[in-house]
Formats: sequence, structure tokens, C-alpha cells
Amino acid sequence: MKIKLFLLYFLFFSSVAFAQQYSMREMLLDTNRAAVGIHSNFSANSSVITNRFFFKLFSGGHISDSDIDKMTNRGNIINNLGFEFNTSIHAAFDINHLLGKPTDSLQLFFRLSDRQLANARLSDDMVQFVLNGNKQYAGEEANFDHFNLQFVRFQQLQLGLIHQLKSGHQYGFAVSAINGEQNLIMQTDRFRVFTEIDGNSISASTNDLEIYQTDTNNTGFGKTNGLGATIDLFYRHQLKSKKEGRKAYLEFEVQDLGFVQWNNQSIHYDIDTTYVFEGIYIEDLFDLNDSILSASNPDTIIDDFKGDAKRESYTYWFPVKLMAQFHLEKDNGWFYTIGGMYRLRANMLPYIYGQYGKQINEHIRLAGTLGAGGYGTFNIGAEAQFNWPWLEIALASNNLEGLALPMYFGGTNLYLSLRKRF
Amino acid sequence: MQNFRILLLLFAVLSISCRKELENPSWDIDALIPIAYTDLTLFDVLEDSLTSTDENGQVSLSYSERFIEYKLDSLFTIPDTTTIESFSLPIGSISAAPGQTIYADTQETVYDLEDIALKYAIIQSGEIEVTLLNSIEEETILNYSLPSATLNGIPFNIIDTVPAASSSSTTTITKTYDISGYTIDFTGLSGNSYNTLVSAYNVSVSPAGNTVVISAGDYFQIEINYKSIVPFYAKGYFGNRSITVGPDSTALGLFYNIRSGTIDLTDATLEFTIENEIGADFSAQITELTAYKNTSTSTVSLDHYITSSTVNLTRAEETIPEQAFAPRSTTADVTSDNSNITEFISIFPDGVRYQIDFQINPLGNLSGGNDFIFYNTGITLSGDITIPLRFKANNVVLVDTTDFELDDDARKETNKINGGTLWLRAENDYPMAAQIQLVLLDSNTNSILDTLVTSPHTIEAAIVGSNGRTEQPAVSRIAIPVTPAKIDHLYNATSIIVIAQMNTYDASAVTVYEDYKLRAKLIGDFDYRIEIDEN
Repeated sequence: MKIKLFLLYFLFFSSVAFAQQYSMREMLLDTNRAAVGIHSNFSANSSVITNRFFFKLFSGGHISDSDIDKMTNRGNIINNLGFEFNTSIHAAFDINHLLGKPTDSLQLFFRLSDRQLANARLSDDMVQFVLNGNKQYAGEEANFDHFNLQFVRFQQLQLGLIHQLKSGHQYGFAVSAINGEQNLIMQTDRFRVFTEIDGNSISASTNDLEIYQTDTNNTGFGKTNGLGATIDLFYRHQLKSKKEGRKAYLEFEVQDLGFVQWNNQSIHYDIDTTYVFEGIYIEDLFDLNDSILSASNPDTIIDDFKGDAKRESYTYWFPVKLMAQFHLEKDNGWFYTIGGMYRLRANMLPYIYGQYGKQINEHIRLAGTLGAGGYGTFNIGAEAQFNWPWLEIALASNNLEGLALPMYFGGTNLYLSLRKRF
Repeated sequence: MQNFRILLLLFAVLSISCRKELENPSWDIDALIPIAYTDLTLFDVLEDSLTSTDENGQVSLSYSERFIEYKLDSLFTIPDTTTIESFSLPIGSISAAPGQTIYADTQETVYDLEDIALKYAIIQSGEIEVTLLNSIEEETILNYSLPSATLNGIPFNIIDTVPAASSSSTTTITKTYDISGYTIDFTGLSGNSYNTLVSAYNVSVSPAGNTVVISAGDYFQIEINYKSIVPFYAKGYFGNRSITVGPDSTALGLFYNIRSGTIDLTDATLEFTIENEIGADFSAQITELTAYKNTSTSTVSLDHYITSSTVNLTRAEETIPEQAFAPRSTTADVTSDNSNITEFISIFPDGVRYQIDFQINPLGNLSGGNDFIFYNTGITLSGDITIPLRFKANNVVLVDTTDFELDDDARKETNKINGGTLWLRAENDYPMAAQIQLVLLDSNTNSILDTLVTSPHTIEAAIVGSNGRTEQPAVSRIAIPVTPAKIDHLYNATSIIVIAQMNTYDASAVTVYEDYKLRAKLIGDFDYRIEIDEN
């Protein structure tokens, strides 16, 4: 009896697979009426930056030399780091049910999100340079080639439909209006920094460093520096099983297919230069004045390097996210998921993961996750879902290894979801 | 529903990052960074007026100094002089009607100016103080004039009313009159005298008064005091007196910062000029002209004919009578060929001791009494020193103290330096080496806080090529250890003493060219704390 109740509950109330990331899957109704919810997921990971460093950046305090050493020892030829922070509220309705056509489900949803995406690709020399200083490169060239950094923050108003056929297959489509708040892009194929053996000069050379930056005087939630649109696609293919109570599906999602057109207050640097810094030149040692002090300001030096900027509008294409997963629910309450995820042009490696979990009782569902790739190396996660007929709460972290051993691992992940069912 | 709201609140709180405001995130790096640099040349250290360059680019030090400026107008001032005229009735009595003159006189006052025969003067400043004593019991009037003292053609004249005396006391009044700008003829009533001032008095009973009886013992006294009279211009014969100036000394600012050491100059010249601004002939005998150094006992006396023979100075020319003049100069070229000028300069004199004997009109009254002098003029001795910078330096120690104060606001940045070394990298074109030391001083307590430079601390000399020029700069690095304690000393210091001991690079004399420079650069080799300031 308990098993039957569990299966019943599972079929009608569970969102089946845990969602640890911003996805259209969050919009799936597990009732035949409506739901509202709020979701937030924060994720930061790096193949080189450890959580100890990350937490100190966040909370303040001194990062010891040994912590720095642990990071630099992790460094590879190429190092990635990524960050994503999404907070959203949504409402979903089953239109067919409301219209008295319960044979299949046509779900309409609205979602308002505040989202931040950031990622970077750093060479090993760049990591060493930033974390340990330039002295180790005295007489040598530090190679920052293929440096790439992008950051975008935007607000997204999404309108979507998810149609569930009688066969159980589901497909969804959503369009979004984007309010572009801020964007920074830095990218180069060649960037070298040379420190003379005795420190007499430091030179930086690049032939294709491009920097795009939106108006820094107009930032904050809701501020507009650009407008855009995206579409998201979702498809879940329900697999048939000969075993009663067993359920499986294949799921695919394409997210953030779209762009933002940033306004003409944005600045664009196209840098092709060799800049040699020999120190601040003091024209008259006996007449030090404010202009010399301002010349010694690092901002002034960076401005000299960057040269003149153009103010112009430009188009930013979101790094499209591709997700696929296979999910199997067994009749004994155990479930398995394997999947993969990849963001195009986002300095990440493909991420694959596997999940194994169990429906403990009608209210509690627990799972563990093992993943590899992405912005980190590998990760261990845990998820918990608490369900009542009227409420669902989900808590998850994909990076327990980073919490347990922050000096060795670099992942931080937290997912919170709250959904009220009607 | 209530539970839902609570959960919603909890969710919102957890979703908002709430970073504690603790210390900024930071980590330490090993930084090797050029900080600042400057190009130092002699022209930066010395004023433009002190340097010159010849067609080959060789630099010379040029320095002009007015050794002696002796104002002689003080010799021709008119001394304060008092004359007293009085009228009294020895016996009997007279009756004087209103307006009746009681006493009148014209007299000459002869000034004692020793051998000076002054004929004429224009007064720069001065005053006449008149004191009148009256025992006559009626108001009286004094009319006093200097017929030979005129301003714009009008003679000096004053009329003073003296109140009537009482039977028991006399009346006294004192008044002062400015005579600035007056021209005074000192030739007296005859027009042939000198140093003689003519004055006239008239004392009468006030026309508005009554007839008064002047009895025996009544008197009227006029006291005239010529005070602080300074001529703007004086003319006459200035005599034949001798004047000794000195022994005295005058400071030279050129070598003030050089504390010790010697320099072997190959050449130097001193154009010595004696300028006579007075319309009288002079002869001058320089009995001493000795260079001295405050920090040593060594002195060098100039050995040149100008210090061993008499020099005649021609009188100045009066270009516009009583208004302008042109001085006359006598020059002497003091060179390394005709003197010991190189030794004289090589001790880096802080000053010159001198004594000079002058004689006025050594040949007598050749001008026929037309010597003249203007206010604030005299005789000056000056020298234009030119030192071609070709020399050999022997442990020449330059010391300079500069006020020094680091803005406390900079502590935030310097506190990020955990330690390390500040390198002074020098690219030296000059064929001179310099051992550098920097000393921090607390001038409030006059105590040394720290010395900044550790050995070796030599900026090496560039090597001179076959053409006499340095071919490439000598590169040296001087370490200045940086510790938190030393940084504290930098903030506590109020002045910094720069000490440089310089030597030319070998035994030969070297030449300094205008394109030589010392590029000094500070390079930080620090254990530096990167701090992410999110404010």
C-alpha cells in the first residue's frame, strides 16, 4: 500500500528529476491545475580557484601563502572559471485543465528572472602572475594568450508553453524579453607580459585585445543598457517500460538562444599595442605635484594601455546552454539520472553527471550526484526534496567536495526552490 | 498559508548574499615593479644662470658674486647741527609797538665736514626742528628763512607765532619742518665758501598785539636743529682721505653643499670688476682676498697682481646733472695662467675674506670741486667666475638636507608592503662615481631616525672613451631595504639628508658634457599585499 501511495504521489506530485539549475524543467506542473514558485541557484566553479580563496574574496580576510600554493598547484595550461546566479519567480497554469480538456496538458508559464553569468579562461601563467606576482617571471615572458572573460547581468521576462501529449512526451517553447543591465567582455588571442630581469620595465603586448563594456554609471537591478530577446526549447521523450511502475525519459533543452543589443553608451576598446611601463616619469624631481601623483594611479596606467575608446552599440549573443539527460525511476523508489550540459562560447568543458537517489517516503526524496567537467574538475552533490500536496521545497548543492575541503576544491553551488501548488 | 509566508521569507533571506564587512580580502605576491624614474642633469641641480655650454657641448659653471658693496654716501652726510640765536635786553627797558621788529639777523652756519668741501646738495631726507623761547609778555612772531635752500625755486621760509609769556614764566614752542627735496647751496653769502648754510631771522611783536615793554632780562631765543639730513646728491670736493674696508668676509653660495674633498680643476677664470659709482677718483689696494672653507682650516689667498698692486679707479660720469650717472669700471682677468685661481676655487670656498684700502682723490682736487655722489652709491667689487667642468674630483662630499614629509594618507598603500627591497637603478653618463647615503632625520629632536642605503651603495662612473666622452652609461643598483620599521621612519621623518661622495673614475681629469645625465629609477622588489578594496 505504501508503495502504491508512493507511486501515485510520484506520478502526480513529483517533478521527477531534481533540477539543480535554471531550466524550463522548473516550470513543469506536477499538478493538473497551477503553481507559483520562487527559485534561486548560485553556482561558481573553477579548475584552479579554490573555495578557500573564493570564500575569502566573498567574506574578507587574508588568504595564506599555503592556500595560494594549493591553487597554483592545481593550475593547468588552461584554467576556467565560471559563475552563475539566477533568481526567479514564476507562475504556471494548465490551460487545458482550466478549459475542461483534461486529456492532455497545455501549460502556460510566466517567469521573471534576475540573472548573472560570468566566465573566464586563464592561462597558467596568468594564474601564477595574479596569485604569486610577477617576480617569478623576471627576465621571462608570461603568456596570457587566449584570455577571455565575459560577464552579463540581465533581467528576463519569459512566456512559455509546455505541451504534454497523451503519450507522455512533452515539448516546450518559451520566448523572453531581455532587459540588459550590464556586460563586460574581454578577449584576446595573444597577450604577453614581459618583466625585465631587474624590474627596469614591464611590457605588455597584444595585437587583438578587445574590451566591450556597458555604461558603468548606469548599473543596478532594472537599469537598462540594452534590450534583447531569447528563446528556450524543451523536449522530454517518455520511454515506455515493460515493467509496471518503472518510468524513464530522455530530456533535451536549449536555453538562452538569443541576444542583447547594448546601447551606444557602451564602450569598445580594440587594443593592438605594446605598452612598456618603466615607472612614472618625474619631470622635475624638485617639483613633485598632483599631476605626478595622478599619473602614478594604476587607473591612469591602465587607461594609457587601453588607449582611446569608442562609444558604440554592439550585439551580445548569449552563450547557449545545451542540456540532455536520461532519467529512470524504478518501482522500488530508487531513481537514476545521467546527463550532460554544455554552454557554447562560455569557457567551459562539457559537464557530465550521474545521479542516484531514492524516494524515502511520500514527503522526502534524497539523491546524490557525481559530476565531472564544466568549470571544475569533478563534483559530489546532494539533493533533498520535501513534498506536500500543496508545497514543494527543494534544496541542493552540487559541490559538497568544495564545502568539505575548500582549500583543495573550487566549486560552490546552492539551489533553492519553493513551489506552491494549487 | 502562514507556513508558506514564513518559508518565503526564509528563502528570500537565504537568497540574498549577506557579506560580513570584515577586512578586505587579500593575499601576498612577490612584485618586481618599476615605480618612478627621473633624468637628472647638472642643469636640474644648478640654476640655469649658473651653467653655460660651449660649442662642443662642454659645460661650464658660471657664477657671479658681488663680493663687496661698500656704500660711501655715508661719508658725505651732513652731521646734525644745532644753532642758537637769542635776543635779550641787558639793562633798562624798551617799548615795542605792535608789528615792531625786535630782533633781526642773517648768519652763516659752517658745517664741520673735515676735508670735504661741500658746495651743493639735494636733500633726500631730513628735517629742521625749531624751538622758540619767549619771555616777552606779548605775542611775538618769528620769520625764519634759508635763502640758499629752495624747493622749486622757492626758498625755505617759516613764520611761527609765539604766545606771550607771563610775568612768572616763559613760553616755549617746538616745531619740526621737513626739508626733503630741497636743494641747498653751501657756498655762503659770498658764493665762494663751502659747507656754509645761510639763514635769516626776524622777530617782531604781533601786529595784533599791544605795545609791550621789554625789560632787562627779557629774552627771545631761537634754537635751530638740523636733523638727519641725508643728501640725495652732493657736490664739492670730497677730500683726500683714506678708507679701509674690512677685514671682513662675504659668503659664497656656490659651494655651500660641498662639505669636504677637493677638486683638481684644469681651468678657471675670474673676471674681477671694481666699479666706481662716485664722481671722484679713487685708488684701491686689495690687501687681502682669501678663500675659506667653514668645514676646514684650509684657506687660499688669491695670488694675482690685483692683490699686490694699487688699482686706480676712474670717477663716475654725471650723465644728467643732479639726476643720473654712469659708473666707471676697472676689470682684471684672473686666469689660471696669471694666478692661482684654480687652487682658490678648488677648496670649494664658502666665503671670501677681504680687506681693501681706498684713497679718495689720490691726485688731489682734479675736478675743481666738482666731485659728486648720489644717494646709496659707492664702490662694488664683483667677480664673474667661469669654471669649465673638466676636473678630477677627490672624495668630494655633497650634503643636502631637504624637508621631507610623507602624507599620512599614503600609509594605506605603503602598509601593503610587507618587506623587500627598493632598488635605486642608476644609468650614469657622468664619468664620476658617487657613493650615496640617505639619512632620515627628525628635526624636532634633531635625531637620526634611520639610514636607508646599505653597502654597496655606489653609483658607478661611466668610462670615458678615446674621444674624451663617455660611450655608454654605467648601470648600478643600490639596495634600500624596506621593512615596516623603515616605512614607519619614513613617516616620522621631517627631513632627509642626501650624502654623496664623488670621485672621478680614474686619475685623469674628466669633462662634463651637456648631454650627460643620470637616469635614476626606483624599482620595488616587494613582498606586497594585494588587497581587494570593494569600497
